[in-house]
Amino acid sequence: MPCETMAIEAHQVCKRFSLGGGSRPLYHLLGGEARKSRLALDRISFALAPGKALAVMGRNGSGKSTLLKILAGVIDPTSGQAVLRGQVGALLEIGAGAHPDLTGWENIRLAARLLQVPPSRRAIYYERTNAFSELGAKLDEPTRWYSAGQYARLGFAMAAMAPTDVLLIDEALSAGDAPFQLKCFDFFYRAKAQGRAFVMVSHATAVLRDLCDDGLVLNEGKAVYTGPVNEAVAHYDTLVLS
Amino acid sequence: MQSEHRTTMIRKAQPPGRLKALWQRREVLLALTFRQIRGRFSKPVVGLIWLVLQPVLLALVFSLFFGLLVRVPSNGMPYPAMVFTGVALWSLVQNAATQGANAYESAAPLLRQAPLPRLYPVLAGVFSATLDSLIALVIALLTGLAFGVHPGWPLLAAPGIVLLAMIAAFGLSALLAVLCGLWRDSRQMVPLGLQVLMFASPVIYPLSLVPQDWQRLYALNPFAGIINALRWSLLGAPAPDPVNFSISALSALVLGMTGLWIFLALEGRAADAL
Repeated sequence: MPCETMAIEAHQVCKRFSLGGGSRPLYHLLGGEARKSRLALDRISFALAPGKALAVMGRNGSGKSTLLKILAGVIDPTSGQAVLRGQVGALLEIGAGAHPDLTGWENIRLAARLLQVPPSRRAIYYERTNAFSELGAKLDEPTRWYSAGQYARLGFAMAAMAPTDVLLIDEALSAGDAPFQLKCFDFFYRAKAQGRAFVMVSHATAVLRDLCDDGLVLNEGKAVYTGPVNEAVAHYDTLVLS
Repeated sequence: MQSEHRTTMIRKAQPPGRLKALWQRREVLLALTFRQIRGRFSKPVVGLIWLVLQPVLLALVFSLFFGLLVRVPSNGMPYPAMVFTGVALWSLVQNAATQGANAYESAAPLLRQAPLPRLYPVLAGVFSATLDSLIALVIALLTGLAFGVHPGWPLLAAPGIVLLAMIAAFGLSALLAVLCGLWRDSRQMVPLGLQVLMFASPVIYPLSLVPQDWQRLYALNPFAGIINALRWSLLGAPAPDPVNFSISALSALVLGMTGLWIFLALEGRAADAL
């Protein structure tokens, strides 16, 4: 498959954090503490075709979330580059994007602008997000009154119902109840058939094996395996057990 | 899909590219500004009362304490109208700076949802602060009228002066945003710093109170010339000294440009904590 049709191409992506994650107390600087840094991602490369899903696996602190944040444009890579084709959406934590002071509906309307839903499709977007979240009258309340599960439903529905071509998801399925998770799986299969691409970070390897095509296993910032998801899960299992 | 033509290039961005992105997503900026206004006041009528009450009460306290008790001179203007103009303009600086200092933290949920210029939360803060300030400035104008002051044609200069204030407040806000993004504890110093800056600006006293020898140096504070010019525009105070005003105006532009430049250069590093 020629490169121009890839949904994501990451090339030698590196991320170096100054110690403390970048936001350090000022007194560290005043105290003349030596500037330490940590290589969180070390030359990560992969390509993902439209309609495919990539599972990113690794132990805690291996750089999974950092990779997703870079792809989502939240943080910048230190070197290397990535190309994402089409509209990008991200769900980097449970209920991400929901502003606690705004009502569910206000959040949905804001999300439509953030995710660049064209004006002609906004009415459909509102309706679908409402239907998918199943929150009903709860959407008239500020989201600070939502339960964790309701927050997760709103966050997922806002990101999933937007016409994104690439969707980045970090452990977003864990908070919903079983019927909602089933609904999400159903959504993934249909969306992939429509040509949408996904990158998913999760520790639930059984789920990843079901939903994803490719796998990327990270260990201490390095890619230790890139390839079909079944082999990736096997690599991850040996990594965890070793 | 319909959005096939959009391509996002992720790499260590350079300021010119970031400047271009600012213009492309302006619709989002509008929505963010609206959110900022709406988020603070969940009920419109109550919100408007808060909005009006804050500067009115502050101006009242200052008028009683500094106008009647300490008897700060007001250079021929009615003291309440004079202090109100100062307070109204200062609310723009204070709100913009405070929201700038919190910009990274408060905008984190949005910045994690979709690629978005990181300057937008700062700009939205400046715009919503300007709206608040404009309402207070109208009340200041009305206070002047109630005291029998008629502004005349200098009133036409008011929008330009407010624009200058916006540029300076934006510069300050952008600087504080990266500063507090890089070193989160520097936020502790923002309220004190703003208080010092307020007393270093002619908010509760007229510019004429500053000794003649110090006027040139004092004019380096952009808000000195801006507030003084605003009193000329709204309250018919004597016209500002052209050289001193030019110094302040230039200082405001330099502050705005410096803030923009430093923000674009450092925003990436400040975002690492998101």
